[in-house]
Amino acid sequence: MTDTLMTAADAGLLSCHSCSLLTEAQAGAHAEQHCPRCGSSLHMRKPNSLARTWALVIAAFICYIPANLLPMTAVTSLGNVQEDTIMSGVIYFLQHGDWPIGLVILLASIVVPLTKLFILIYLLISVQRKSQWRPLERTRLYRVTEAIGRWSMTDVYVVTILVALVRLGNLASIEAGIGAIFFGAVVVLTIIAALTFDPREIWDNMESTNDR
Amino acid sequence: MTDNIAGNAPENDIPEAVVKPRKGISIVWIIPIVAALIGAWVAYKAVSEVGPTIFISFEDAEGLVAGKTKIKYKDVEVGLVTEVDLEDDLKHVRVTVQMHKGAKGYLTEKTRFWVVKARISAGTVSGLGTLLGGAYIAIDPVNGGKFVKDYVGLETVPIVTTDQPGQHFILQAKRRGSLEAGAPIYFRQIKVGEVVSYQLSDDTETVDFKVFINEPHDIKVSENTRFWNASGLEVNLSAAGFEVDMESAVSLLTGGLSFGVPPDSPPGDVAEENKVFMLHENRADAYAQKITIRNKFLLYFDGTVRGLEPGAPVEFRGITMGRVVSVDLGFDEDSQEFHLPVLIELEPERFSQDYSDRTEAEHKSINEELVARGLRAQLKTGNILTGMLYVDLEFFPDADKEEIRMVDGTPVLPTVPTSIQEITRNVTAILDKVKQVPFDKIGADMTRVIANLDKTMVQADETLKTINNMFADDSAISEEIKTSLRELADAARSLRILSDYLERHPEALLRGKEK
Repeated sequence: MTDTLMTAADAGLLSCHSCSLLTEAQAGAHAEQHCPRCGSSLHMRKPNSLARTWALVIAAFICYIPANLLPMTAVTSLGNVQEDTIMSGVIYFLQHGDWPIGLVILLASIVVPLTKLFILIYLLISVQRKSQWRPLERTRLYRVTEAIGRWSMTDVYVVTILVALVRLGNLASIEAGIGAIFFGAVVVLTIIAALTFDPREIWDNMESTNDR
Repeated sequence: MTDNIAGNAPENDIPEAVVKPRKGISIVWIIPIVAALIGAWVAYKAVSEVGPTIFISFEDAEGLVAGKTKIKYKDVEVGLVTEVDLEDDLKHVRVTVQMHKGAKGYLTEKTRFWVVKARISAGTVSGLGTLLGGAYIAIDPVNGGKFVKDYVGLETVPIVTTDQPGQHFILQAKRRGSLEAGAPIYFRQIKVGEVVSYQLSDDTETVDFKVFINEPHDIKVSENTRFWNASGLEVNLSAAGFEVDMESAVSLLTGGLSFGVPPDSPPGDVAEENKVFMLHENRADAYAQKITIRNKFLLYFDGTVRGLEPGAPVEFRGITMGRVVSVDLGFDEDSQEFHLPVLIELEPERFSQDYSDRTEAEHKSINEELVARGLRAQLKTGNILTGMLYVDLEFFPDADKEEIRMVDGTPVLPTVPTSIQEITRNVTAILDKVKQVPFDKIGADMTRVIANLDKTMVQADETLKTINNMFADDSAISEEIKTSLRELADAARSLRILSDYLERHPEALLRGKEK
């Protein structure tokens, strides 16, 4: 029944991303179009959405490797320096019986970012291949991605708080490792990637195939 | 629906926008490129910092933790233990170490590894820092040489590492004494080095000590330097009194060495690395004259040599001239006699400063001259309690003339019997004479004399009895004597009366008695 519906794009109308004001598209205008109400630039779709998202996702993937291989924290206790990566921390907690904490870290730091990255890649591929398979579920996936993305940041926050709190010199001190920077980058990049992706593209495919 | 809008457009006479596909690549691709560059840089750094992987074998893995234990040199981290495993033979522990970049140059054959942990030994406490920070593996890198991958770790901390400036020397001693590896070496009571190790020499005759003298004191070791054992207390009892000498309290526990140059000799050239020195028992021994020439002589003693042992001194008027090398038992088949060859060593340098300057012929003539003048060897008791003997050289001008003869190339010094032997001989001679006395005959004569005496005694007894009877109260003689005495008394009385009368009447002599 969707083919009977007329979309705003069909009607030559644009919706503002910021204030959602529906304006008429100036089809021939070379200059950038702005929302008459809030002044933000108007686009039919998020500009260059697929390419940007791809770029960010790839960047996130690249950063994900050192984030997991390099030490996240360097714990100095009694002069003994111990460097931990995300995975070694998880294993440490699981082995020492603190499995709830271990699971939280595992979820927030490994499962969530990976899930996000894979969902985004799937969405990107599906959009590029103009897939028509379950657009509703795919949109839902996108919403989940957007929602859970920020929670990955917990790990980074924990590290920052620990670094600030535990400062007893040689007795005990914690320092952030390079891994933390890369992990932060992964989280930030995936959040931006989720933002640059325009879920409406999922539905655009439905339109265009209907046209044929 | 779409048709409507499409249809309206030409009516409004608005030209179609020219849609140009965006040319080139979006600027957003810079992000993954930058990420890739950073990632590549980090990866490169990680890979480039990775040095060679080596394997060290230890007796046990006490204190070693994979991923935590570090390899340190001068407290700088140069590697990390990545794995701690058992060797296949289950006797050792195989430690896999990831060294840092640039380590390859000093991972050579001579490079040593050992585990640093807290150790407390006599005189030193080390590695206290590892109590908190955990053990680490120390490395003594040696530059130059082929890269080696497999090492055997030291179980003890080496005393000297290659970066310490100084020199090694070898000391040979008869016995180990109380010296431990790490025992201090003193020069003028200042610690200048340490005993590195000790081991039996190849022929197991001596103990070889490897010692290390630190810079700048190593140049104090010269050709004429003497090393001596300064372990513990040295107590000297001399005419001057009681003297206690001690290098340091540490040397009481671990033993110690000291070195110096004898006061009367020049130090000589600076000794080379690994020069071999003798290790003397004490300072006096070390400073004693250096004996290099030892002449062997044979002595044949007639009597027993019980109490004469190898090493016993050979003295001349109380001064040691040499020592006994061996005491043997020989059998002369021609004369069917046993003899006791005693081999001695004389040290002629003790009494002749320029001995070594003279020729052998001269030595020989001197020896012959001495023997001709009566030089003889004699066994004497050195210790009455233990009965230990020593060989005494002395001049006996009255001794029978003898000459030095050679037995198997060894000169034989003539001997005289021991003083005890001489006494024994004299006593024996006396006894022999005593033996010649005819005690049997004397005995028989004596018996006869005694028998005669007996008879005489009996006769005497009878005579005495007769005499006794003669004078008994009731005997005739006594009666006669009594009567005689009585008459004598009467005579005396009459005489008195006469004399009284004559006193009163002296004229009676002429006129007679008055009537």
